[in-house]
Amino acid sequence: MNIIVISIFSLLVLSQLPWWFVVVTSSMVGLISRSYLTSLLNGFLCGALPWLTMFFYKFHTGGELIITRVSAMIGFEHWIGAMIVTILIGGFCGLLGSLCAYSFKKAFKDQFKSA
Amino acid sequence: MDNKLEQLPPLGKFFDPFHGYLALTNSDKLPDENIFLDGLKDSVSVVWDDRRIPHIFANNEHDLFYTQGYIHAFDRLWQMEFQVMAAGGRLSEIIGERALNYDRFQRRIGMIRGAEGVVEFYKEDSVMIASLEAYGAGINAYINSLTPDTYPIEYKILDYSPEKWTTRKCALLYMYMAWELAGSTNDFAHTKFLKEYGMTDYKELYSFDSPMLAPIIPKSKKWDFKPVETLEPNDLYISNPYSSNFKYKPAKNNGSNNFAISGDKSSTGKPILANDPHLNLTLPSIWYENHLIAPGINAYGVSLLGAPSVVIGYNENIAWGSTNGMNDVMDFYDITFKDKTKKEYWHDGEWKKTSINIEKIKVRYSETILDTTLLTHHGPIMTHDIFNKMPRYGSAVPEGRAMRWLATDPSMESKTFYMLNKAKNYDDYLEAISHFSCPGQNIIYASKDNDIAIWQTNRLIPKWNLQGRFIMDGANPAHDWRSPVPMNHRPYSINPEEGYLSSANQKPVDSSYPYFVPGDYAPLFRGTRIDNLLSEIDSGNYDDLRKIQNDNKSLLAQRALPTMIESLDKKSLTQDEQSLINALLNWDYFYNPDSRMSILFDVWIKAIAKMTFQDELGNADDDTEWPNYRILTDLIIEKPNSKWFNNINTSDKETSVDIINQAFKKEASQLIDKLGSLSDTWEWKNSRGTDIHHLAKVPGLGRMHLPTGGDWNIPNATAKTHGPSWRYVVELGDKPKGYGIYPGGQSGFPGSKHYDDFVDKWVEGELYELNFPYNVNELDGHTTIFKPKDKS
Repeated sequence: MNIIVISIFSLLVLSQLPWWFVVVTSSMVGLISRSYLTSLLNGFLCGALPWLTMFFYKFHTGGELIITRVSAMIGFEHWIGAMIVTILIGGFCGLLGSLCAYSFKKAFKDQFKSA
Repeated sequence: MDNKLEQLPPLGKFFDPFHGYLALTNSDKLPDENIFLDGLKDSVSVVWDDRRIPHIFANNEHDLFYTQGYIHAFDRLWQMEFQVMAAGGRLSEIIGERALNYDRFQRRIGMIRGAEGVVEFYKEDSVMIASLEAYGAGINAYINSLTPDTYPIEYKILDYSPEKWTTRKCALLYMYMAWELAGSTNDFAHTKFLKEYGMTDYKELYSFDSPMLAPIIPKSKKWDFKPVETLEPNDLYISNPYSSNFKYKPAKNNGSNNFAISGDKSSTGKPILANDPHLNLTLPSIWYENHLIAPGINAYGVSLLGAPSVVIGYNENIAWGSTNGMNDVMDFYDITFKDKTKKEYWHDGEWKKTSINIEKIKVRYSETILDTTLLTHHGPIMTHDIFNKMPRYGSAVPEGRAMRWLATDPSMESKTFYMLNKAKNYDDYLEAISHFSCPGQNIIYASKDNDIAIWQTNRLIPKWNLQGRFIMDGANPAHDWRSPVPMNHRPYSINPEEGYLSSANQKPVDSSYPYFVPGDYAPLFRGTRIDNLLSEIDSGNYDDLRKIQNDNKSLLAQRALPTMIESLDKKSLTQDEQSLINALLNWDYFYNPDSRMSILFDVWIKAIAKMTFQDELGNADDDTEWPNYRILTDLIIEKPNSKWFNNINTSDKETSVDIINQAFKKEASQLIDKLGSLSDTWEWKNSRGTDIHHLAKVPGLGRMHLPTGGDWNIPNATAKTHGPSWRYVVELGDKPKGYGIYPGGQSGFPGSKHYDDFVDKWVEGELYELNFPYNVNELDGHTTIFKPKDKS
């Protein structure tokens, strides 16, 4: 549920902010993750979902041809090639943001406990 | 991921669906009903027809060219800027050090110096400078409306931003065209040949004169003027041969056709004119189709992106079209410097001072480079510093080689087109073409007054016989260029008795013309075929001329093949080879898309050329030029025992018969291995076809494997990557009727259906009927009113 809320939030703000802000929005999910693994997975989803949503919105509102051509540009015969690259880049950025936030949270927590 | 990595776009920025390439979705949508712009004087109506051709209705010329600039940028901004950045040697700013040597070369040959000279020339002409500035203001108005999200996709791939347009860029565009069409020389190759084989062999292999030549200017033309005298030196200077890495080879596939028939030969009683310039085919296309209407102008046709007016087209009264003159307008001089400082060089019995030109070259991700060019009165020294790979023969006196290129002499090609757009009759046409210098063009003309004419517009320098075909003596003033001949001495013809005129890049005149006209002309096959077809027309219409544009008959094959087949040793042929010969015997010499024999003849004649000339002359890729196919067929048919057929690497003495047999055996077996038995794979459209690459060769943005027919020596001069970049035909009359097509589309955005929507019909050889409304209400379509901002 949190992932969906954060993804919707990302979708709203990323249209006004530079591409790398997906790292920042995804960091929120890192702060509420309970393990490295969930922070990785949730981060990937939080990065990929808003990008994928926007990708499909563009695809269905006139972008199919340019998506197909960009896919060809990067060596794919089908538009799915561009979609995969979009998921991977968005997801990777989200993953990084989430992982950093989770690591920060964990380090802060451990420090607090030991104190 | 925020920065470009080598050839990859900045991945994060580019694939971001909010601001990257997907932000351009629907960016090809035509502008709203009203646009308010700074700089307009009055409202301008633009009606886009169903093929997205803008018909621009303005109340004055300023607004006309302003709006034309805006619309060119709206559809093709990246292309127009990239072309002039490349021409001006500024690619290092975009792609970094990889382009540095290319940029230094562009600077050294004088692209920027030439453009600056042209701008100064234009400043003295208030009308022309006003049109260029209005056009630039329109481009800048469009650029100012962009944000990084809406930059054309190529800016996003290469990760840079558009910059302000200037008048110098318009001048650079014409320098770019001059380089494309007249930026080549064979002087090195010819000098090397002359040194090695002498003048008799040179004349045998490199002459364009032939009894078969059908020159552009009909042979019946009489030259009734006293020619300007030339200062022929007593001895021919022969420079030292050398090998170099210079790539000044002519682009063999560039060329063009134009032709016109008089009213006497047309069904309408008025002339019909056709033109198809053959250039490198790219997406976006080099051309943009538009219709310009303002008081005094009603011109339709194609424009170059980056300059105002219509370049090839027609108006209410006249039509015009261009082919490349193929003139040799680039010469080289040996220069002797006084000492290593190169501050002085020897000329006309005295030491003269060189000057220097220092250019700043910005390099992306690196430091700015200062590049120095030495200048003589001939032109820039090309052979020092980074281009010094030519041997110096151990001399203590450093040598250099200066380049003299007509394109760097200021001229006003843009004025020619501006005036042609407005021309009403033959006198206006003459006045217009008088401003044209380089690249030399054969500009054909037809009018509703029932005149047809053609002029070679190259600013012709009077030269003694063979002057400039070889590297010249830079110290001897007899080798200097002199003032151009008067305009009325140039090759031209008006209303010839034949009733038609044509040009196909062949030699413009026969030997009766009193001047030496050097050039790298096309062999005569294409021009002769066109003349043959034109002579047969009795009551022609536009479709007859369209068919000539698409004619696929090869006179080269018709001339050479019977002798080639006759020369074959039939007894030695395998069954497969015999079946190929049987098919060849039934071939009609047409390079149609489904022809199966074009590929065999093509590889066979190429192999014969290679086996004939490679052993003596070396690879044609080096500083060597092989004789053209007309010469080769002369040798095959008339001199089968010529020494050129002998392979100097064997002890035998080969003749043309040996070469023809060896070439056939080799190529036939290779083709059978590659293509199998005779089937669809042998069809010309499959075995050759045409590829239209993206202008910057970005993969996926071109159109590959198009099923075309034709070849360079054929009226339909469609080749692998070159071909008819704009085919058009106009029937003159009370209201002209135009037909045309180019292999591309109006939009430069690869995500637009208008990016390449003309290509399939172009492949079929069809033409669109062109809309030519006289007023805004005559045409249905999307209409935008461009209004001055202060009236909003």
